[in-house]
Order: sequence, then structure tokens, then C-alpha cells
Amino acid sequence: MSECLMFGMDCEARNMTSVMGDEENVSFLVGTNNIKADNVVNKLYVDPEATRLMSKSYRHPAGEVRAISAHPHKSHVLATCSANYSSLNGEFALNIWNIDEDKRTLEKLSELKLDSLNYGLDWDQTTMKAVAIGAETVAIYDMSNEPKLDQSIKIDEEGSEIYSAKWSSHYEGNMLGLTIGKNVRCVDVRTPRDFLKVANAHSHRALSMDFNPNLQHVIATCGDDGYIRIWDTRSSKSALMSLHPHAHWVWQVKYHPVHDQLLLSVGSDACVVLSCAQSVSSEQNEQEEEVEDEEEMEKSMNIEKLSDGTLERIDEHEDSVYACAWSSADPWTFASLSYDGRMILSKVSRKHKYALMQL
Amino acid sequence: MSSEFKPSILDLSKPDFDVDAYVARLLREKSLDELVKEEEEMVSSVRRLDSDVHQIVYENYNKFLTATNTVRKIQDEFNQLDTEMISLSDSMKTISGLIGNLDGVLGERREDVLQLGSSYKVVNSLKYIFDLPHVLQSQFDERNFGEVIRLFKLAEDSLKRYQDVPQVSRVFEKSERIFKRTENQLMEQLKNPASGAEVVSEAVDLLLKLGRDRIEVQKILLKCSEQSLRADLKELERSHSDVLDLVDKASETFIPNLTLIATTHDRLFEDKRNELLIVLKTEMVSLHNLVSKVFLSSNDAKDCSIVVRALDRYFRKVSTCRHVIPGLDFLSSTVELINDVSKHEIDLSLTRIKEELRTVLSETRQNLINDSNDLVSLSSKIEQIFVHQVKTALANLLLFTASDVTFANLPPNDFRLSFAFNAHERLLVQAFNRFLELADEYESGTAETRFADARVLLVFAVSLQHLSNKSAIYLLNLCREQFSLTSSTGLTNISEVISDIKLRAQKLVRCFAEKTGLSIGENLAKGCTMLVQPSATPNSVRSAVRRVVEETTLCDNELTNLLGGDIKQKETRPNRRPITSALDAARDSLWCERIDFHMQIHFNRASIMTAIIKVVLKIFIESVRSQTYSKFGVEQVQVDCYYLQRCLASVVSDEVVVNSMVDQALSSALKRCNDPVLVHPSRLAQLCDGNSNRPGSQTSSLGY
Repeated sequence: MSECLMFGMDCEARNMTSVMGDEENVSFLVGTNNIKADNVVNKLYVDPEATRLMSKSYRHPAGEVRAISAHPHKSHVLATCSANYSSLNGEFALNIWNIDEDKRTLEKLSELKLDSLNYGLDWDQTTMKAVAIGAETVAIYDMSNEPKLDQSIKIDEEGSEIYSAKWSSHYEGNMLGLTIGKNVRCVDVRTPRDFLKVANAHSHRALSMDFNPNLQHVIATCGDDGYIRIWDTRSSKSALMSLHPHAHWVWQVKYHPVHDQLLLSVGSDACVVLSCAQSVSSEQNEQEEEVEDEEEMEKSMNIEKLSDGTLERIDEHEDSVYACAWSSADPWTFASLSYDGRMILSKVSRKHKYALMQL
Repeated sequence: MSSEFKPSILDLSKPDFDVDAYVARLLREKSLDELVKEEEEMVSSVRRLDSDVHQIVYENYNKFLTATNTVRKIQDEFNQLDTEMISLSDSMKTISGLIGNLDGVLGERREDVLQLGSSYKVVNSLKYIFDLPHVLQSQFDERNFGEVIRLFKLAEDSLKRYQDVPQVSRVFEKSERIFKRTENQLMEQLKNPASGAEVVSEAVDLLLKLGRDRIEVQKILLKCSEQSLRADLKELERSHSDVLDLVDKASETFIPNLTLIATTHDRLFEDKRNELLIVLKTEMVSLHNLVSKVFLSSNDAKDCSIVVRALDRYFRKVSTCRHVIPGLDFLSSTVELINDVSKHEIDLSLTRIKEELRTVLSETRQNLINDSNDLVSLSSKIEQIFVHQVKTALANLLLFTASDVTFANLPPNDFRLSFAFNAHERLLVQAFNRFLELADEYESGTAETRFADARVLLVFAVSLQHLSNKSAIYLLNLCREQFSLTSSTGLTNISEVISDIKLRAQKLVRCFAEKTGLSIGENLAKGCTMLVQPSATPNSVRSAVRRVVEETTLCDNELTNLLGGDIKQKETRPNRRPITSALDAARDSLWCERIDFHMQIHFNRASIMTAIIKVVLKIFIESVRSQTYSKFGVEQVQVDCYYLQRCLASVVSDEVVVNSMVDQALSSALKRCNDPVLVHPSRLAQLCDGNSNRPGSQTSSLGY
């Protein structure tokens, strides 16, 4: 790993997101997760010399941050799912905040009380809809002004916990990916009863999934068995590819926003892994189409191709890593967050970058 | 001049010999002794001459006497001859008298006699002509085609002359028919060039005599050769049962015919050799293609010996062909074929090895499902099958280099070197690779291997580990020895192969540990969510936790059986200071060691157990962290942690790992609780011993 910036927070943290609205500066939002002390949302960014990771904290008055999502366009607006256990049974809410730079606090734009703990939130890029999940609930909210329940999707899978939800960038914001128990579903929210299902995606828990940004029917899932599996949702009998980058639960997997052969994953083994899935990426298909052109062939022969499997493993974390994200400002930068509050900002190594860009 | 002149007058045998000069010279030149000697010599010479003269006189006299006798005899005979000549002249006189008389008698009949003579001739030839069809037919029947043609040609002109006579024209027609049939018959003979050189060359000779164009005849011969060879080929293609049968049949039909045609053609049309070669080459290429196809379509590695025999036979035939028909050289392509076939056989063996391995692996899985717990024999069986299959394949390949196989004696560069190289690289090294591919398949969990029993991975890993320790080296050395691969240039390094195997063994055992840990840990996680918020202080260890300990013990026993090692449990340090307050927990977590999940796993019980327990405890930590606890909930976790620490520390190689992870679990629980209070250490042991049957309320009233 060539460049690797580190920042340590005082508090446990599980949630992180890239600031989607800021395409100039590499910045991430981290919500802390402490049952007793005051919780904050930290904005982490790189100083102008790009030598240090800086942080600004904003007080999060609603309690623990159990899920966080940045506004698709406005860099100072974010949403959180909060939990406050100071009362007997706990108070839960979905909040929209405005970052108040002066007071170093979050200014509440709106709040919606929830019945139960929600720990997953994904704010869609185009439709201003957000999906929030709890152990047994999937709810879609219209976030244009204040959180308004738009639709509640019924999941009747006995005894299975819902682990994550994620919008697809295809299908005009109508396709939702859910990981439920050990299965994965792709639900079209217009017809929630019909869905594509990947059964037995992982041993016991499919913890997260991501849609391929270039191929609309390809998804990556990760789970407790330490594997990342890549599936074609149209034929989900067997995986297109199985990668085994982690030795323990894989908490998140994220496709690179452009180069869909790059997969970022983090897990309980305190590792951040950058994997390559060249042979099932969109670029692989393009190369196959170009085979007829001989010159093109020769050219592609000369370029060092990445082979499938682990490209880089970062083991700078000491505890379980629960979240990772690609920066929305610099496509080669990514961040990872471990439970002990350590955040690491890394870059894809130059060698792999050039191989990907076919330079 | 004087020197030449001198000898002439001094030479005794010359006519101008001067006695005085001679004597004077003798006297002048010789000493007394020499003179005396000279005189003695001279006397003896005179004597010798004298006796010679006598001899000659006697001989001549004898000859004279004999000649006289002969002359006398000749005189007698002449007298006799004289009388006979007289009687002869008398006879002649009588004859001339008689002729004179006869002349008178025959005088007027002379004309008639002449006519009779010529009529007789005509009748004879007419008879011959009318008989001609029969003669021709009988000759034709006896297949004396040459005679038929000679007779017809003889008669043809005269028949044509009298064609206006109906009978004659009939005869002509008949004869011509037979003649035509003959011609056709000859063509037939030509068209069957495999019928024998004699027959064909006779036909060609006769056809040429018939005035057929030489080039045309040659063309027909070639065409027919081609056809007959093709027919042979077709038959071969249709009727072979296996490759050996094909080669046998080819060497009984096609190749002899080929050589026959070549010799016949060479005898008749030496100058058209090139055209012949073109035809033969194309046909030979077809045969070669057919043979290659059949060779390369064999798909059972067991048939290797048959293939080698067939290949050997074919090779011998082709090399013979090369000598019999100069210019028809298929040796290089045959050598190429041999190389290709050897590669094909190698590939077949490889496929077979892989299939066998697959079978044994699925058998292993089946056995494990059927509660077979003898992991040792299962793992050694996998290894044995591999070693056995590879040895069989190598033995099969050795057939290619057996001393009785002709092509084994080709120059080493043509076949042996590359073959031996392939046997090592393409078979042996690849066989290892296939084995490892299978390992990868199980490791990456593609398709249904995902759902295989974790113990399959263990068994597989152990067999790979054994392989890398001993059998792999043995196999690699065996191959090098069998194929006399002395120079190791280009060969895959032994250590490289070994390290590859070790790598896979490591991956598999890691995968086993993860999988086992996962299933044990998942039960724990599920069991713990059942009772997250107890309403009272715990009175014993949760049953899920007890089950974890039972399952790990079971697993530990299994590993001990498989890998051996110490069965006796290590003594745990009982006086480890347990966490007693939230502050302690926070402080402890600072000192918490980073748990490395990617550490090398050794093939011993403790190392594997450590890996499994790491996974189990990490799952416990994760499930604790995802909860929010009440006061009693934390107490329960504390009790569970204490129990886990006590029971698991003895199983692992380094109990620091267990201690540190258990502490982490407890501190995580403390962090997820608003007002944590911990159970006093003295009660922990009591609760964990499991003899506490007191109701919860009672215990809670005791201390807290």
C-alpha cells in the first residue's frame, strides 16, 4: 500500500458514507455508536497538502448513529437512523440534518419517529427516495422535504433478519437489493411481490450486497463465510465467481463506481481487501467482442491484465471493519472504518490503476 | 660411333664378325687367367653347338619320312574318287534323258497345275478366315489376349478387302466384336491396377500395341489407381473396429496396393513419375488423415498399449513405403503424428486422473455423510488413488519408449526428448495441477462443492499435506528416472511443485477451520439471541455456550484421531484475573492483541483448533456487539465468557488468544449496556460448574 492515511476517533463507530454532494474534495461522514456518551458525526477530509486526514465533529443530539447516508447533491445535508437508549425501551428515529459549521452541531431539518431500531439506510441518487431497514422491516421514504413513508415492503421470510438494503443505479431507482438471512433479493418496488432471488448466497448471513455499476443484472454479495460471490440475477443457481478474501464475516462489499472489476470489501478479520473480478466484469465482455480486430488484440495482449483474486490487503485495522466507501470525488481513493473508531484512507496502487486504465 | 661399331665386329653371332679383331681384343684386354677361362668356355660352347646341330638333323629326317607316307595315301584316294565321278556323270546323263521325256508329257497341262496350287492357297486362307471367330473366341476364353490381337490384326486387312461379301463381313463383325471385347477386357485389367503388376503391364503393352495413346493409357491407369486406393480407404473408414484393426487392415490392403501400383507404374511409365507421386501423395495424405483422426479420437487411457502397437505398426509400414517408393516420404508427418498421439494419450491420462480424483472425492463425501469417522483412511485413500493413477499413467507412457517399439529408436530429437519432457511437464506436473485445481474448486466453493461437509476439506488438506511431504517427491523422481530426464533444463522445479501443494493444503485447512468455526459459532450466535434480555441475573451458562464447548471437544477429538498429538489437556491457569468492572474492560481492550486471522495454520491439532476457536469467538463478539444489553444481559455474557475461557483455553496452542478474545467479547457487551454491573468472580466458577439449580430470583437477591 503506497499511501495510507489514518485517523483515530474516541468512540466506537460502525457507519460511514462518502459525501456524495461534494465532487471536489475527498470527504467522508462517520457516525459514532456509543450507548452512553454523546454521539457525533465526524466529517473526515484530506488537508490541502494531502498529507493528513482531518476531522470536524458535529454533535448528533438524537443518540447513537445506527445508519448514515449523505444527501445525493447537497454536501451539507445528511440523514441518519438514530437510536437513543436513555429511556427504557429506546427511541428510534429517521432524521435529516443540516451541517451547521459554526455551532459545530447538526441542525435538525426534520425527524420521523420509528417504532423499532433501523440500522440500514440508503438514499437513492436520482429519485430522492431512501430505504431504511430494521430487523424485519423494509420501508421506503420520500426524502424530498421531510421523511415521508412512501411504501413498506413486506418480507415474509420466517426467522430471517434483514441485513442490508441498497438501491440499484439502473432501473431508474426502482430496483432495490436486499439481503435477508442467507438469501439476497432484488425487488422492483413497483411490483414488490415479484422479485429475483438468490437463495443460499452465503452460509448463514448475507451481510451486504452491491449492484454492478455497468451490468444491470450482476450483483456482488458478501456474507459470514468470508466469501464475496458475484451473481447473475437472471440465473442464480450458481455464482459467477466466488472470491475468498476474508477469514471471517465480510460486512460490506462495494463495486468501484466505474471500473466494475474492482471490489472493495471489509470484514471482521480486521482486513480491507481490494479484489479483482476481471473475468465477470463489463470490460471482459468488451474484450471478447473485440477479438476480431487483430491489432486491438495485440494491443490488449501487451497490456498487463489484472488476474482475478485479491489485489491488495490492508491490515492496518485492529478491530472488525464494518464500513467502507469509495470517495465520490476521487475514484481511486477509498476509506474504511473499524469498530475502534479508526478510519483509514487508502488509494488504489499506481500499478493496479494503470492496469485498469489500460495505460 | 666407334663404340657401336666395335661390338658388331666383336659379336660372335653377327655376320661381320672379325676373328682377328676379337682375338686381338681378348689378348689385349684379358689377363692370362681370364684368357684360360675364356678358352674353357669357348670349348664348352663349341661342344654344345655341336650336339644341337645333331639333334636338329635327326628331327627333320623323321618329319620327312612321315610326309612321304601321307602323300602316298592321298594318291590312293584320288584314284577311288575318279571312278565315282565317272558313275555320277552316267547318272546325270540318265536324268536329263528322263526330264526330256517328262517335258513332253506335261507340256499342255502346266497351266492347270499352277491354278490348282493357287486355289489350294485361297481355300486354306478362306477356311482360316471363317474359323477366325472361333479361334479368337477360344483364345479369348483362354485369356490369351495377345494372341487374339495378333490374329485379328493379321486378318483385318484382308477381311476389310472383302467386306462386300456378306459371309466375310459377318465374320468380320464377329471377329471385331471379340476384338472389342478383348480391348474392353484389357481396359478392365487396367482399371484394376491392384490385380497385379504382370496383368496390368500386359494390358498396357497390348493396349499400346492397339494404337491407344500412351498418355491416355497412363492417365487411365493413374485414375484407376486413384479410384482403387480411394475404395480401399472408404472400406477402411467404414469397417475398422479400433485403431489397431484399422492399421492392420490398412497394411493388408491399402499399403500393399499402393506399393503395387507404384511398382507397376514405374515399370511402364518411368517418365511420368511425378504425376504418379502427386496421386499417391494425395491418397497417402487421406490415409494419414484417417489414421490420425482415429488415433486422436481414442478416448480411453486404458487402450494405450493398443495405440502404441498400432502406432508402431503404422510407423513401420510408412518407413517401408519410403524405401519401396522413393519420393513418397511420410516419415516426418508420421513422426509428427507420433508426437501428437503421445500428447493425446497424455491428455487422456490427465483427464482420467482428474476423473478418478473427482470420484474419490465424492466417495469421500458420501462416506462422511454415512457417518464414517475414519478420516485417516479417507485421507490416505485420496492420496493413494492419486499416486496410483499417476503411476499407471506413467507406466502407460513408458510403452511409447519400450525397446521393441520401432519409433522409440528414432533420433532422440525427433521423439524421445520431447516425449520425456512432455511426460514430466504435460502429464506429471499437470496432474499435480489438476489435483490442485480440484483443491481450488473446493476452496473457492464453486457450484455444489460449497455445500460439502467441512471435513472433506480437512481430509483433502491432510492428504495434500502428506503428498507434499513424501509421495510428490517420489513421483517426480520416479518420472525423471523412468524417462531418463537427466538435464533438468526447462523442467518444473520439484520444490516449486511441493510448495504449490503445500499452499493448497494450507488454503484448504484454513477453509476447513473457517467453515467449522462458522457452523459452531452460528449456533452460538443463534442461541444467544434467544435470550438477550433476561429478566433476572443468570443462574447458569446458556445451553448454546455449553454446546459450543461440546462441539469443539468433538472436533478436537476428531483432529487428534486424524493428526495424532497430545490427548491430555493442558492445565489452564486458573488464577487468571477475570474482568470485574467496566473500567477494567476499557483498559483491557487497550492491551487487546490484534487477532490475526491469516496466520499460517500448522498441520497439528492445536494449530487447527486455534483457528477454529478464533472464528467461533469472533462470531460471539460480533453477535454481542449487535445487541443492546440490560444489566442482566451483561451478567449473562460475563458468565458465558468465563465458561468459554475456562473450557477453550486448554484446547488452543496459545491461550492468550482465547483470553484476549473473551475479554473483547465482555468489553463489547459492557459497551452495549447503559448501566453494566458485573458478577463477582467468586460466583462465576460456581455458576459455571452447572450445579446451581437455584431459581434466578434467589441468586439475584444474594449478591446484587
